Amino acid sequence: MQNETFMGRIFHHAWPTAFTGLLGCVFILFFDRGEVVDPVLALTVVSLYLSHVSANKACASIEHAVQAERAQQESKRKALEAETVKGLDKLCENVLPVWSRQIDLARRHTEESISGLAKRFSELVERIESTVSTSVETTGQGETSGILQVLKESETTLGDIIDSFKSALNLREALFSQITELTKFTVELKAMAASIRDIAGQTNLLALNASIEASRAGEHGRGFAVVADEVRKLSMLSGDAGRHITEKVELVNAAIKSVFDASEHYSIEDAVIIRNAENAMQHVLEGFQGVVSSLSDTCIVLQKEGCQIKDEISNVLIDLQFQDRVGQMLDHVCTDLNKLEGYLLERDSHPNGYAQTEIDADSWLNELSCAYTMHEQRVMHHVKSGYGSKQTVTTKPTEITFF
Amino acid sequence: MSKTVMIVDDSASIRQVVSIALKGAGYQVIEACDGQDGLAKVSGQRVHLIISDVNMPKMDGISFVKELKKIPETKFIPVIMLTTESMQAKKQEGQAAGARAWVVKPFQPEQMIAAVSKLIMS
Repeated sequence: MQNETFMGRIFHHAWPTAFTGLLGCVFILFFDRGEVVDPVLALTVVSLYLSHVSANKACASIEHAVQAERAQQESKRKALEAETVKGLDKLCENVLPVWSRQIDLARRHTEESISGLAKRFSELVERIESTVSTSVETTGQGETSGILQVLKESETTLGDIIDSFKSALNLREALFSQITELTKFTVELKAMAASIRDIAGQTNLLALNASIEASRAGEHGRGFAVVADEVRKLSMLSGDAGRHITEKVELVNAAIKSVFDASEHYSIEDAVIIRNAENAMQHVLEGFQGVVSSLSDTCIVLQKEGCQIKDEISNVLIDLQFQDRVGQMLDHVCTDLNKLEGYLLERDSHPNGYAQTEIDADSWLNELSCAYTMHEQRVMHHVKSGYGSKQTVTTKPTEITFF
Repeated sequence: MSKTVMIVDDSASIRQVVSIALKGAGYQVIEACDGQDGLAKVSGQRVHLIISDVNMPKMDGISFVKELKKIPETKFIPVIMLTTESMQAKKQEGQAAGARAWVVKPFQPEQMIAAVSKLIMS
C-alpha cells in the first residue's frame, strides 16, 4: 500500500516531462521529412529545455515524497514503540526459549517417569499372575494335582488299608466258625467212646457168665472157659480204649475251647483296634482336610484379591495414557512458543522493524487451533481467560470406528 | 499358537499399556517406536495385526500404512489406528490409506482386545 502511494507520486510529477519529450520527438520526425529543419530544431530545443525544467521539478518532488514517507514510517515506529511495554520484546526473546526448554524438559521427565511407572506396574501384574497361578496349582483347584487331590488320594488309600484289616478279621471269624463246628464232632466222639465203654462192660459181664457156665460144665467146659477169659480180656481192653478216647476227646475239646476263647478275645481286640485306627485316621484326615480347606479358602480369597489388584493396576495403566495426551498438548505449546520466538528474531533482523511485520492475532490463533488433535484442546482454546478457564473437559469413552 | 500383534507408537508408556492388555489376552507383542521402525520390524516376521499411532516422528502413521500397502507381504495385515486425533477428516485420511479401524485414546483394554480379535478373525 505504501509502495503504491510512493509510485503514484512519482508518476504524478514525471508525466509532464515525459509527455513534452515525446512531443519533441514527434516534431523532429515529422518536420525532418518535410525539410523544415530550422524552426523545428528551434522548437525541439525549446521542448527539451522545458523537459529539463520539468524533470528537475519532478526529481525535487520525488525526493520530497520519499522524505515524507520516511518521516511517516519513523512516526509510526515511534508510536508503536510508545504502545509497547519497555523491555517486553527483549524479555520475550529471552524468556520464550527458556519456557520452551522448561516445558520440553518437564514433558520428557513425565514421559520417562510414566514409562518407568508403567514398566514397574507391568512387572507387578506379571508377578501377581505368577503367584495366583502357583497358588491354583498348589491347592489343585479343578486340577488333578495339588493338596486337595493328595488328600483325596490319601483318604482312599487309608480306607483301603482299613478295609483290608476288616477283611482279615472276617476271614478269622470264618475260621473260628469252622473250629466251632469241630467241637460238635468231639461231642459225637465222646458219645461213641461212652458206647464203646458200655459195650466193653457188657462183654466183660458176658465173659464172666461164660466162665461160670464153663466151670459148671467141668472138663468139657475147660476150652470154653479159656475163650471166655480171652473175651473178658478183650472187653477190658475195649473199655480202656473207650476211656482213652474219652480222655483225648476231652483234651482236644479243652484245646479247641482254649483256642476259641483266645481267638474270640483277639477278635474283639482286633475289632477295637481297627475301629480305633479307623477313627484315628478319620480324625487325622478330617483335621488335615479342615486345614487344607481353610488353606484353600484362603488361597481363593488371595487369588480373588490378586485378580482384583491386577485389574486395579491394569486400570491404573490405562489412566497412565494421560501422559501421551499431556505430552501432545505440551508439544503444541512448545511449537507455538518456538514460532513466536522465531517471529521476534525475524522482526529484529528486518530493516524496517515493526512496519513490515505486523502480527495478525486471529490468523495466528487459527493456525494454532488447526494443529490441535484432541477435543479438549479445541474446547479449551475457545474458553476466555478468567472465570471458566480452569474448567475441566470430560474425556469421552473409547471411540472405535471400523472402516 | 498365539497371534502376533505389532504396536507402533512413539510413546513408551502407550506401548507398554497396549502391550500389557494384549499379553493379558494371550497375544504376542512386537513394539516399534515410529513408522520407519515398524517397517523395519514387520519384514521377515509373521504379524497378524498392527496397531499404529498417527502423529509420530520420522514417519507418521498414515504414511506407514501407505507403505505397508505397497509391500505384497504386508498389504493384507489389518491396521488399527490408535490416536488422540478425532477429526473426521483425519479418519477419512486413515481409511483412504487402508486402515481398518480408528480408535481414539484413551481406550478401554476390553474394547481394544475385542477390536483386535474381530479384525484378526475376519
